[in-house]
Amino acid sequence: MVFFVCGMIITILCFVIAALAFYLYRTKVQLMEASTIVDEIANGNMNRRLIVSKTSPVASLCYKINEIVIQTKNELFKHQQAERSYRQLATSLSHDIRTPLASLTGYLEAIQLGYVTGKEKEQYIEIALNKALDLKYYVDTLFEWLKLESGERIYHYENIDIHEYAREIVSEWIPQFEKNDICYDISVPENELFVSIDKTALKRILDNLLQNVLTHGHATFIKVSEEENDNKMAFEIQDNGVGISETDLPHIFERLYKCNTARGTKGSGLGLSIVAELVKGLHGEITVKSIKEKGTLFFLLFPLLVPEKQD
Amino acid sequence: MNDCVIETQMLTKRYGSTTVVNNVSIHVKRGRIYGLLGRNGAGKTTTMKMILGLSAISSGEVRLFGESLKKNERKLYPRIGSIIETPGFYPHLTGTENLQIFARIRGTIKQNAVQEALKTVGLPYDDKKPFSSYSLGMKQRLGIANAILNDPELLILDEPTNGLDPIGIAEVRAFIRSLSEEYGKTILISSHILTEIALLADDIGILHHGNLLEENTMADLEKKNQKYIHIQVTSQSLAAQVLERVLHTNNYTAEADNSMRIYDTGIDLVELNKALVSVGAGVSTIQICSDNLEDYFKKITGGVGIE
Repeated sequence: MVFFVCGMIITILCFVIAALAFYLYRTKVQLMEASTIVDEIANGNMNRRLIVSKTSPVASLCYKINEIVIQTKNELFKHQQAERSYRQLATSLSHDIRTPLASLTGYLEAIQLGYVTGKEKEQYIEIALNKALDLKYYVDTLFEWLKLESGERIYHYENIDIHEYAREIVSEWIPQFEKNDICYDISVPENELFVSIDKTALKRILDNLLQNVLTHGHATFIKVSEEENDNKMAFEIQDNGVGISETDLPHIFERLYKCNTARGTKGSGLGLSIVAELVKGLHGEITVKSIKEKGTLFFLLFPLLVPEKQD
Repeated sequence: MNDCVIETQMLTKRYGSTTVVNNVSIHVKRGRIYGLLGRNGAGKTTTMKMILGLSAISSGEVRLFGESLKKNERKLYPRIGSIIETPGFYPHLTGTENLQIFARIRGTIKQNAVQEALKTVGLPYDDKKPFSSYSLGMKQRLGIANAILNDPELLILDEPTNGLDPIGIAEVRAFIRSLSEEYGKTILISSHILTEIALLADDIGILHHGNLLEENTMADLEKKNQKYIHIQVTSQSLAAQVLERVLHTNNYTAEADNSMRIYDTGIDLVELNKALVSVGAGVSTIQICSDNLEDYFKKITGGVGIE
């Protein structure tokens, strides 16, 4: 009887020990597998994940490692993306400078080699000068944009009569509209409204949008309006030009994005991205609606900062 | 680290005397989207099935992550997510329950993996709708959720937009793009629609009657898709001046290596050459590059083309 009980206990103990040994062995195997995967992650493969059963004793450890890897990878990815886009920028810039520069030197060489004389020579000099000025404008735009992009631009808020200032900016464009046979409708309220805003930023935003209508819009009519609405300043610039296609529309505020890709078309691809950055800097919003062949509407909204009363 | 995530060497599939896939060697590089393009029945699905071990290989070899697939299946397959044909789910269970079953079988990478995968593809978590009453679009989404459940390094997607409406197609396309661009996944995708592959893939392999006719980067193929006059000259500036003054065009770009592209293809080449030479712009190359992708595929598939 005693032997029997002892035998029973020993058998049960053996089973328990065997089960424990198996459990330990399995855990060890899982840990070893996990360790090889972690080695691979350490060697730079951030896409590797530890896959375990939820009930495994090492589950929470593996889940934590996964979480850390995913987080690190996301950070790493952001850096890589920034780097990539800068490289793209550099390539694209050298391209955008090379073509106008080739054209400019072409005119100068033609003059130097004596291909042209007299009146034609004068004409060539004028063309070359204009091209040089365009290039200067491009480089200026580029620097402005780089400054914005690196967050170095400082906004200087001034107190101005916004209605008066809007009128001033838009009226500077009237000769251009008339030269290009564009009918215009400008509506800005008559009263005074003093607000606090960065004058140069606002001017640059409106100038770039209006310039776009001239360069790309092929419009015959433009409507510019400004009003105070619900404690916000709202601007609208609407034209009846060629519009922007549906595929281009979501990308127009991206830097260096040009519609009609791969063409030697006008523009730096920076204008609207400067607009977007400046609008952001002024805590405003910009939206665009466009229908192909019907026209485009840019809608701007800025917070109305009423200057503090000074005595 | 090996650059190829999938590499097949002379992969062949025969059914009796018919060869469905013939000596196909594809190279799917890390972090890129590889589009396998071919008409229905060209052997796309069979190739993918052989890579995934769902179909026996008649001859040839598959290498995944730089290792031979043979004997390493258990180690390599958990690193892959896939959808082949219509995904198989239990019809009377909900999407969540279906994914939970797969999660239990395969293990998971985080506590709430199922919930997150469903959220990523825009399906509700823990709703009561059984899989059988899902729309085709929802079924396809659940398939994608299942494929990305363990955040795999490699995704193999067989016609993932099949049966989706245009908006669904655009969404899935954007999603696949983001998997590649934001998460650095390597993706092998098949399609019989040229435009879809053209919009998505970085590299492309064209299958026709079981043969791989071409393997190339999309960027290279796109070069073939433009229309322009390519010239190489000794002086870009003089050439530029000629283009503007004599031929009256501004539609050109100056490239590296003294080459230029003129997008105004209406220009007469003889006249262009004469004008360039007369100012001493030294022409070494002058040619019209015009081809479109569709024509190109027609050409290499022997005239039949791809939808």
